[in-house]
Amino acid sequence: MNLFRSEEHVRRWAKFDPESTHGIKPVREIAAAFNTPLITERLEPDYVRRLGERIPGLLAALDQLGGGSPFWQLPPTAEADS
Amino acid sequence: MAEPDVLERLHQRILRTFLESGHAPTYLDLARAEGVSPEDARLALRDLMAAIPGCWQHPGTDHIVAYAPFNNLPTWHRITVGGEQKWTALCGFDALQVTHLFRGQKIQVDSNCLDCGESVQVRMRDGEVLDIDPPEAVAHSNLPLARWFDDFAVT
Repeated sequence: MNLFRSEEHVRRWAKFDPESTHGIKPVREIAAAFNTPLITERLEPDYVRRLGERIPGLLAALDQLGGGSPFWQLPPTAEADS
Repeated sequence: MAEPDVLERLHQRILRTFLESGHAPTYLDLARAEGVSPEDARLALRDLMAAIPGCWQHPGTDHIVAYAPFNNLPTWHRITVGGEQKWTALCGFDALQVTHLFRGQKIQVDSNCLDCGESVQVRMRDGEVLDIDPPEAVAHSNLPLARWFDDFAVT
């Protein structure tokens, strides 16, 4: 994952995958999606023990960020296992 | 598998070492700090690295390369806090997460656009974006979420 000067720059990037169009997001929106316990509570003393409880929050935030696009979702089986 | 308390302590030590020094500890550093044998620390570190998303060791070694959101090798996602630019983020998305480890402090992400090589700068505090230069800068994942962990370094 990288930061680009604009969407036009992403599309011009030599390694841009045209199937990743849904992967282009405003910086503020991505940053907001990271305001979830998996990211904000890394220094909590029970972080490792309760990792599994914190993962769904990030997945939900990314799903919302993607507006329901499969690009920002895990396949159902993988999500159930996480 | 190492005891949960041991994993928690190693996790804290790794992150706090990054915060203080800008780089990862070795397993020998962890062994000394925890008062355990080098081999016990090495094995526990392996368990921990396997448990946390976005963490890995250099292939064939026990050296930490990435411990999200930090990277122990230089990347083009540099972090400045309090006038010191001594941290490197794993990727552009992780660069936007570092703010949560420096509570109450203003941080600056200095990255580069892979298309033109020019600067992309983001200033943040406590998760909030204060300023983006240029304002139209975007974040991009070249792989869908389902494939992020196939090869994290190329997403």
